[in-house]
Amino acid sequence: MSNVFEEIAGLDKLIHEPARLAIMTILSTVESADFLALQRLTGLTSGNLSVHLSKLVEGKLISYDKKIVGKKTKTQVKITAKGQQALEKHWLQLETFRANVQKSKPE
Amino acid sequence: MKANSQTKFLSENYSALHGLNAVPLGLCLFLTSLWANVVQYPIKNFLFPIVLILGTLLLSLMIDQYYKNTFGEIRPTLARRRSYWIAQSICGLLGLVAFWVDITLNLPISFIGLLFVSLLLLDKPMISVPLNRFSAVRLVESICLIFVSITPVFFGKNWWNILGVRATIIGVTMFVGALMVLQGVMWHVFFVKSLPLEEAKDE
Repeated sequence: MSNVFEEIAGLDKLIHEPARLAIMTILSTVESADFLALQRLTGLTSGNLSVHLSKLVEGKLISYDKKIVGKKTKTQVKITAKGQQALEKHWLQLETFRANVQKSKPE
Repeated sequence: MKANSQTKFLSENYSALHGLNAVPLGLCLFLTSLWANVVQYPIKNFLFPIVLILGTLLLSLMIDQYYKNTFGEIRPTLARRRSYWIAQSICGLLGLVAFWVDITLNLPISFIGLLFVSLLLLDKPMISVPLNRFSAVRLVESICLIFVSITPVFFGKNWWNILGVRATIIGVTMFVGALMVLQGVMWHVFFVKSLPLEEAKDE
């Protein structure tokens, strides 16, 4: 069982947080998304979304590009190659973790 | 927060699920068919279809802006965009062939109708099992359209005249137009309902 706890501890907490995992999942399926689309798809407030995006940018998992269109600022967000790899690794870890838990279940 | 699979489905098909985008084209198809049904031949005045096309373009631009301002924009992957444009080009060519077949060969099957069925079945998001709300609408539409396309086989080539429609091609395109409007409105409602409404609280 201790192995399972080690696996949980080994998860990347930057990605594992539900809101950030949702952002990463969205970005992994598209070329780029703007701030409003991410807000709509995740249901996060703009403040919350900004905080999560900043953390992901700090971790170099995503990148963003700000442009001024008319009077508005438009933010286009993209996943980086490092982010894509980290997300794939995270899902693999979760799958392994799930399989191990299933195995350790008493019959 | 929505389930991961649903979030993935929504983001992958984000602009395709903007149902109202299909409404102007559906309305245009329906009204053009209606006009073709009542106009006196040979046609001398093309003002109505010209106004209709301009109106369709204007309405499309307005709906596009509405989606951009309300739901934001997602740029699909290059592979996805490429396959979309290839599919559109093939469908355009097949549409011309189907139109020519329907007009010249006078067969008891509407090829235009069947082309729209194949579009409904092959266009993304494709019908998948288990059915989601979007797929269910598409499946019902496809079945209805197959039936409408082959009705002359059962009821004769001129059965549309009973409904006051001059020809099968006009009846089928009117039906397709109405279906596009109906699907557009339903998909829009489903799309809005699929998005998370409650905003997450601060960490």
